[in-house]
Amino acid sequence: MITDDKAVDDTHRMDLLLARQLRYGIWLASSVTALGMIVALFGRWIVPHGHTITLGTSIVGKGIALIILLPILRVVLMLIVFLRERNYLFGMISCIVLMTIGVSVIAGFYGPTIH
Amino acid sequence: MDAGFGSWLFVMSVGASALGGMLGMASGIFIVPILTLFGGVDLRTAIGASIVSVIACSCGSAASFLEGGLTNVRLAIVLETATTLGALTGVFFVGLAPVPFLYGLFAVVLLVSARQMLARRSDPAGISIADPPGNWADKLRLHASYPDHLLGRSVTYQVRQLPQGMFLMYGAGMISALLGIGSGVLKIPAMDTALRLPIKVSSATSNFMIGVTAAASAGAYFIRGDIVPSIAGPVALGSVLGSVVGARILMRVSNEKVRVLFVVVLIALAAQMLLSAFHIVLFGKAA
Repeated sequence: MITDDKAVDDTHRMDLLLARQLRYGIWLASSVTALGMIVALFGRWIVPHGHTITLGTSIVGKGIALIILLPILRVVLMLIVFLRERNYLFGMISCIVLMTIGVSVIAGFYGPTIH
Repeated sequence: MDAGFGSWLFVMSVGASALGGMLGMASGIFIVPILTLFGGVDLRTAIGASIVSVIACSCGSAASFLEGGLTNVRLAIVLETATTLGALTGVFFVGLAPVPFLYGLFAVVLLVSARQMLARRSDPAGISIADPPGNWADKLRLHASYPDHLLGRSVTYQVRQLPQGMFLMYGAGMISALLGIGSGVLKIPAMDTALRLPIKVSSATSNFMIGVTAAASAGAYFIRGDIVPSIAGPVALGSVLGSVVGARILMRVSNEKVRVLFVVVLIALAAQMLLSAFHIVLFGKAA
C-alpha cells in the first residue's frame, strides 16, 4: 500500500505541475495577444504616423505562437518528469508524441497546398 | 487590423464560447460556421483561427480538471500518439481536400453533434466487459482512480479495449485537423463505447488531449501562413474570455432549455454549411 500511495502522490504532483504551466502559460499568451490588439487598434492615437498596425499585428502573431507552444511544452514537461522517475517506457511515448508533432509541422511546411 | 471587424470577431467569439461552455462543448464547432457564413472569411482561414482558439480554451479548462485530480495523464499521453498521428494525416489531406468537401464534412459533424446532444449519455463505467488479462491497458498500468466529491471517496476504474480506443482517437485527430475543431464528437464515442471511462474522467482526459492534438495541426498551419493574426487573435482572446463566462452561467440556466436551443442551432448551421458546399460546387466559386 505504501508504494501505491507514493505512486498516487507522484501522479498528482505531476497533475499540479502541468496545471500550473497551462494556467500561467495561457495568461501570458492571452496578455501578449491582447497587447498586440491594443497596439494595433489604438496605437495611432499615441503615435499618429508610426507603423503601429504592423507592429500590433506582429505582436498578436507572437501571442498566437505562444498559445500553440503551450501544449507542446506540456509534453516536454511530461517527458522530463517521466525521465526523472526513470519511467523510460512513458518517456519514450512522450518522445513519440513530440516527434509526431514535429513531423506534422514539417509536413505543413512542405506538404501539398491549394491556394 | 480593421477595428470594426476585429471587435465583431471578439464579441462573436465571447458569445460562441460562453454558449459552448454552458453545455461543456468546445466553441470551435460554432466558430468556423459563423466566420464563414456571417463573417465572409475564407474557409481555410476560419479553420486556422478556430484551431488556435481550441488550444487556448483547452489550456484553461485542462488546468482546472488537473487540479481536481480527474485527468488520467498516463492514458492521455498514450492516446495522444494516436490523435497527433491523426492530426498529421489531416494536415496532409487538408491541402488536397476540395473546399466543398470540407463544408460537407463539417455539416455531417454538426448533425452528429446534434444527435449526441439529444441522446443522454449514460455512465459507461458500470457495464463490465470481459477483457483478457494481460491486455495493453494492464501492461501500461493505465487503470487509475479519481476523487468523487458526492460520494466523498476515491473511485477506482479500469481502462478497456485500448486498441479500439486508439483507432477512434486517430479518427478524432484527423477530423480535428481537417475542420479546426476539438472533435469531441469522435472522442466521446471512443471514451464511452471503447475505453468505458467514468464520464468525469473522460471529459477531463479528452479536454487535456485536445490541446496537444490541435497544436500538431496549428503548428503546421502557422508555419504555412494559414493563420491570419488579425482574425485568429481576436477569436482566440474572445474564446478564452467566453469560456470563463460560460462556466459561471452554467449553474443558473436550466440545462434542458439550453440543450434544445443548441440542437436547433446545430441543425440550422449544418443546413447552411451544406448549402454553402453545393453553392460553391454549382457556381464554381471555390475559395
